[in-house]
Formats: sequence, structure tokens, C-alpha cells
Amino acid sequence: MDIREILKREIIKELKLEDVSPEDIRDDAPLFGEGLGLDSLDAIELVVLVQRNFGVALDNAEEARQAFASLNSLAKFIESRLAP
Amino acid sequence: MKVTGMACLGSFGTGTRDLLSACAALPAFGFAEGRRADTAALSGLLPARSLRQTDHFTRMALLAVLKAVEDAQDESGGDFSGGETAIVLASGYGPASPTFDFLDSLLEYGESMASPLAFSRSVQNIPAATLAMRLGLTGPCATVCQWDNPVAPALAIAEQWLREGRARRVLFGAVDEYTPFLAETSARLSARKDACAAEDRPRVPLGEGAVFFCLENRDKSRFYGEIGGIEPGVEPERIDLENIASPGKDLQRKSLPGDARRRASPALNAPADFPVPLWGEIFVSGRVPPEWAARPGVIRALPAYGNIPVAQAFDLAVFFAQAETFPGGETACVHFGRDGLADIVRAAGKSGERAA
Repeated sequence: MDIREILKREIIKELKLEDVSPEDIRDDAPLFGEGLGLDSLDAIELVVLVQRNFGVALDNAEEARQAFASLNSLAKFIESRLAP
Repeated sequence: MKVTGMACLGSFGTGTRDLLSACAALPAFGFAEGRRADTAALSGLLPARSLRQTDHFTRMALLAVLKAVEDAQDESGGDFSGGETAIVLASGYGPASPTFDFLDSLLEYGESMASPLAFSRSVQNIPAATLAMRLGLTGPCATVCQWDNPVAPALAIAEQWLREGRARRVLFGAVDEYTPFLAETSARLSARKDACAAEDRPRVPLGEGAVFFCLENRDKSRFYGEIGGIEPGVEPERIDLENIASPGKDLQRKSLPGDARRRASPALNAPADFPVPLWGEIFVSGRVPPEWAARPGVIRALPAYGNIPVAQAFDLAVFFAQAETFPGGETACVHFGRDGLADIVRAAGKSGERAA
């Protein structure tokens, strides 16, 4: 399965976005504030979610800030870390 | 402490009328085990998205506190935001579901990848803090979480804060939630002869729910009655059985004539023969000694709202729900702990003499 699809499914499940379907999440929309409307608590859960599902650690704040800009940027970050 | 507002919900239904209807069915159980409190009404009060991270325990508390504030504001209005309003929450288990969710994630993923969201929701004072944020309160906020009756010690804190002037009013709540894990544990315990007191048979179904009282010391034209005379940890043999509702005076236990009960009953939406525990009758909960259970005038309302650690608060709700219709009554809610000691909370309906 595509990383974006896995992320959408896991974000909905773990962050309890009960009224959101995977189709509602735009790849380029902001994850925080406007867009999905996630908050700082969600950010911490998202860090754990990425590590659990992809084995990728987000241990640098600046790196995480850029990766969390949108679903696209997060997927690209994971892909870059998974690349051989 | 004057009770100026009140609201409740639980396995029995929503509101004091449903609570009294469940009482009317006593000694039969008021609901089937596993029935959850309905918090759907919250969606009409708050945006659905804003409730995303709000677990069931907190939703019950939130609905009860919003309705209690609404009830307290009916005639007098008043600003409930800011630093003059405090919150005290009592719970036997605290937010149990998030706690089990967190433990599950800890077991499944290990310490480094346990769910931060589940952890944050499992912290015992988070529900009270969530209520404070929702209501814009900056006054003191505390949670008393102990399995064996947290209600009396939590009420003592509320009373002290009002006496010290730390708050003009206290939103006092008592909340506990049903989980399948607790149900299984309860069933196992009940199956063990040595762990099950005789009064627990047949086993009362586990209940869940939230009750909130708005407590104030100042005079208001509209209030249900007063709570006072809180005595935690009393040895049962030191309790004056005859005058427990009104210590120090010879209370004439008045019985409401049958006709009067029938006239009043339609207002309660309850059958005419519903016991009215207002004239010196006593509510008991916890591990009730056999000699107390057999006493006339002793009410055990637990089967109406379910087996729940915060039973004493629901007993108070039953009393005050009727106190409006039958003013002037007095009662004592006595919880017998597993340590053999009793926690006593006295209450008087409006127009009655203060119980303490």
C-alpha cells in the first residue's frame, strides 16, 4: 500500500478523526491549524505513529516541523528515510 | 453549602426524572448491565470536531456540568467563567477506558511507542481540567480519585475552598464509567464467596454516570437545599442511629400521608408508592452492615443507578431531586467503606433546618 494511504488510515484511526474519510484528506493540505485541524498533542501522537508503522524516528524538531507541513511532505520524509 | 444547580446522567437515563423513575422500580434494577450513558446531547452544545479528543468519561462529566451550570443560571444568571468558580471531581476509577487504552499500547508497542494521546487522557485530573478549559474557569481544580468512596473527601475539599474564600462557587462532580474489563473483574469478584458481602447478592449491575452540583455559600433565592455535616471515617458504633440526619436534636420522623404522595407523584413521574426518603430516612451504600440494611427507614438506591464507586453522590441527587417537591426534609447519606468505617454526608431540603 502507498505510504500516503497508510498514513491517512492511521491518522484517522489513531487521532480519532471520526467524521473524516481518507478521501477527505488532501495530500497537500496543512495537517495542523487549518486543514485537518490537528494540535500539539496530535503532533506527539503522529511522531509515535510514524515510528510504529515505518520504523522512522522524528527526533529533530526542525525536521519534524517541515515533515508535518502536509501529508505529502510527511510521506516524502518517510520515503527519504526508507530509501536504501 | 447551598445546592443551586444540579444535573445527572447515567445508565439509568438522562436527568433527575429518569433517576427518580429508576428509583421507582426499586428494589428491581433500574437498567441492564452494560448500558452506557447517552452523551449525544453534547453535539447540540459543542462543535463535534472539538470533542474529538474527549473520551466517554469526560463527555459524561462535560454534559453533566454544562446542564448543572444551566440549571444554576435559570433565574439568577451569573458569570461562571474566571477565577471565582472552582471544580472538584470525585471518581472511583478515574478515566478507566483511556487508562486501559494506554496500558494496551504500552504492552503492544513498548515504553518508547506507547500512545501519548491515551496517556494524556488517562491522567486523573485531565477530565476536570478539560471542564475548566471548556467553561473558561481559572479557579482551583482538583480530582479525588479513590476506589472506596471518593465523594465525602471531595465534598470536604469543596466545603473548605468555599469557607476559605478560594472560590465563590464550586462545581462538584462525581463520575465513573463502565468498561467491559471492570465488568469482568466485578463478576469474578462476586463469584468468590469470601469477597462478596451478603448484601451484594443478587449482584447489582455495574453502572456508570456523572452527577454535578453547583455549590455556593451565599444566599440565593433558588436552590435545592444544603449539604453539610461531612464526616469521613466514622466508626459505625459511634453513629447515633436515631439522629443521624440531624445530630443533636430529636428529629421527628415524619411520614408523608399516602394521599399527599399520590398528589405529588405525577410531578415526579414516579409511581405513588415510591419511597420518599426525606424525613429522617437514610441512604446507605458500600459494604452495608447487616444490622443497618435491616433497619426501617434505610434506603439502598444502588440498584436504581448501578454499582458505582461514587454512589453517595447519586444518593444526594435522588434526595435533592425530590427535595424541590417535598421541601424541608433531611437525610444522611452513609457510605460504609471496606475498612469498616463510614463516611457521612448530611443534606437538608430548602426550607428545612440545616442538617449541620
